[in-house]
Amino acid sequence: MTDSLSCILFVEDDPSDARLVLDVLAKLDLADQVRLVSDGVDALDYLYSRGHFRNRTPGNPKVVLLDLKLPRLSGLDVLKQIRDDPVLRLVPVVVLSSSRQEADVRNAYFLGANSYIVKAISYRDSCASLTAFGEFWTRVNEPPPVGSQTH
Amino acid sequence: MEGAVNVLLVDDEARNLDVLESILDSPDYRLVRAKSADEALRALVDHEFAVIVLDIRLPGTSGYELAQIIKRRKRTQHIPIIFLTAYFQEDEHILKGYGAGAIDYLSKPCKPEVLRSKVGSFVDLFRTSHALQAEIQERRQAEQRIRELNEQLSQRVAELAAANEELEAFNYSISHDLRAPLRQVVGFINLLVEAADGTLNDTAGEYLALIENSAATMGCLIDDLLAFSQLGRTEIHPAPLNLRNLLDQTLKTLEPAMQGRVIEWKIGALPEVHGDSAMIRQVLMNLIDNAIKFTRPRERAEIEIGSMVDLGMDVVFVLDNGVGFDPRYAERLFGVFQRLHSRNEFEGTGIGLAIVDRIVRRHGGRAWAESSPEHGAKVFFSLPRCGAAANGDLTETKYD
Repeated sequence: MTDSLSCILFVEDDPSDARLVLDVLAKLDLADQVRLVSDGVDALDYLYSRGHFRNRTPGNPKVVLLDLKLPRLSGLDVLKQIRDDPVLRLVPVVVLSSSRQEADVRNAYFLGANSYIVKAISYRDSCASLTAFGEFWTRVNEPPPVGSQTH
Repeated sequence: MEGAVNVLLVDDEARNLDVLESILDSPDYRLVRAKSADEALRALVDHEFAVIVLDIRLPGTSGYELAQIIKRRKRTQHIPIIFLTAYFQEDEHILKGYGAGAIDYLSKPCKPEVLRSKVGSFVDLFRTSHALQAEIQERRQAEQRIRELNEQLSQRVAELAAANEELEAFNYSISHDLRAPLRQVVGFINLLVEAADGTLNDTAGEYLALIENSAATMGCLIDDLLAFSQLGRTEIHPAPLNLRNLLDQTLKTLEPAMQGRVIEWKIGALPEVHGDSAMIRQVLMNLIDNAIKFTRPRERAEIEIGSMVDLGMDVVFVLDNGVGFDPRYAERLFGVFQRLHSRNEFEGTGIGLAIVDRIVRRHGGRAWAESSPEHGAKVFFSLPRCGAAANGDLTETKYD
């Protein structure tokens, strides 16, 4: 399976939540730019171009939109793996979680999340935060260069 | 030790035994006769004796040899022996060999009162030692029982802590997992309205609005439940607090709720308390928010905030001239999601006072309320006086 490179790697196991997010991103004309995977293992497979994704176009997404509560490998495990990897470590990761819990937020930042968005119950709030997210990370932000990073 | 104790009489002559029996006859003693060393040893196997009266000259195994056997056996070595001897001069060296202690001797023919007195003191000793042993045994059992109870208690405490933790985790997880479908309901209603793009009739639109409203209410319930459950897990950071400052901040925050209202505030002296500032502010916020809410039907609301000292505690009260409540339900007020008015009259999920109660309890105080319908409510909370030791969580928290 070939796969063009997506701007956003979206990791979400709940199909309804995924659909709501994708609908908002579609309004920003980002629908084609999103690759949805439903757990942490698939997320890493995508990032490492292995398994189902071994034939995908090389390169890193501009941002990973990461749910925390995931089957198999949790969001925090995925984040840790990304930060521990010399090639992936600079990829921006934005956590999207229903938890506003201090411990969850702290852990996410501690492990190197670039941003943390709480899933809002109000539809308007959720549209607003996802629009801001999509605009910023795909259009405003200059992504890190690809390749093994040294300084 | 109750009842008669055993006394062993050993003599090969029945006549001598009869004499001993008549001398020692008493309801306090049960006299056991033995005419030889063998009989004596058999008796010693079958019974426990307080003292042995032993003729030193026995045929076969002599009294002296019998005494040696008795003193060698662990079970019998503690039994005092009174030797009877007709030939004191000859036996003296043997008796000396035993040394002092639970060995005594009497020359035959023995004086009855002397024999009675010697046997009596050994029996007393026996009774005392038995009583002591019983007491030691009792004490040991009591100690064992205390140890067992302590173990049970620590186990219960551990179980309770685990159950509590589980409950909090459950509460947290429920609150979070319940939000997901709710978020989706709200989201898809909005998407449905967008997708219908004005083709829905008024009734359908109204239904959708009602669904969304219900979902929003549920959202509030979940948020409140989550806030309540977090309260149990949040650590208290106690510090000296100026209640008056906290109150002023609270009133500022509540300004939007006072829009278009006439409220007369009476604010009395407030103490300095020791507590977690965020939590105590929450207490004031919930109480004053309630006072503002439940005085809404009044043209002119009166809200009084003051304090007093009661039973060594600082007691703060918030008094209003609002609709009040039926005092029969005063206890229920502090339960989770307990409401005493209809949702049409007054909004809110009924979590506010439950949060107040929980915070105040964790600070070592309590909360209570007084009212009668239509005569306003008076809600109190107590906190340990500044500097006084608290009985709640605060005692577990380091002050440094």
